[in-house]
Amino acid sequence: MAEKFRFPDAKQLAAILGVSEHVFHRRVKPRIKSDFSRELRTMNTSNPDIGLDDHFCIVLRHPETGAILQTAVPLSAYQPNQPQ
Amino acid sequence: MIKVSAYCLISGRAFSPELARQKTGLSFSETHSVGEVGVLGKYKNKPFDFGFARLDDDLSTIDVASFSKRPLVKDLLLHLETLRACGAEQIVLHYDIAYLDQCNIELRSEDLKTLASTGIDVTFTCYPDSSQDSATDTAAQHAERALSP
Repeated sequence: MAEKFRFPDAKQLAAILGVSEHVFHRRVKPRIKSDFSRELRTMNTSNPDIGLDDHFCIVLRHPETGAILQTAVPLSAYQPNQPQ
Repeated sequence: MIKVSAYCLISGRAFSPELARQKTGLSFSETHSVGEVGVLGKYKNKPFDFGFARLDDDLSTIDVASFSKRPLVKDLLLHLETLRACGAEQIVLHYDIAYLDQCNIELRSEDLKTLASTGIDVTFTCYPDSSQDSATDTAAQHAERALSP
């Protein structure tokens, strides 16, 4: 069965992480873009849509072509203040 | 009405943020070097296989209307070649645009000329401004401090 992807708005993603939308835009999203910069380069974008798969892992989508990259990295891995 | 803020993400397989800092005098808000072990995200407890630095806009200039006259852009123009000489392969200038009611953006010809002269990719993200809620803003500032190195 095909996996379903969701692309909630930034407010919802921020709520999932327990941070404000401001922190999501200023801190979380840049880290995701940086960690996956090489993969994004091959997709020919630097500013993807951020979504989730069925397992709450990050999915990156080219905002124009709709091309998808499944990262297998849970969004929760970018939660601030997690135990080291 | 819009509020514009900007940052720049600089990375490369052999990019050295420390060397870049020494050569340019730029203050990066976040960095990691090749081999350094990550604490968050994809590289948590794993060594980075690329160097990275983040350059932030001076928050005191947050109300500067022009996209190209910001100190961050001036710093980039001044040090672009040095950053590349320090191993930077990917340099992306990003603008966050928080809007109230409507999001109307104007890139003047002087902005386009300046940004084009950098030869780097420029990205934009627009979102509704929720900073009118002071409680949310305070929480955001706390969380932002907690995320800073």
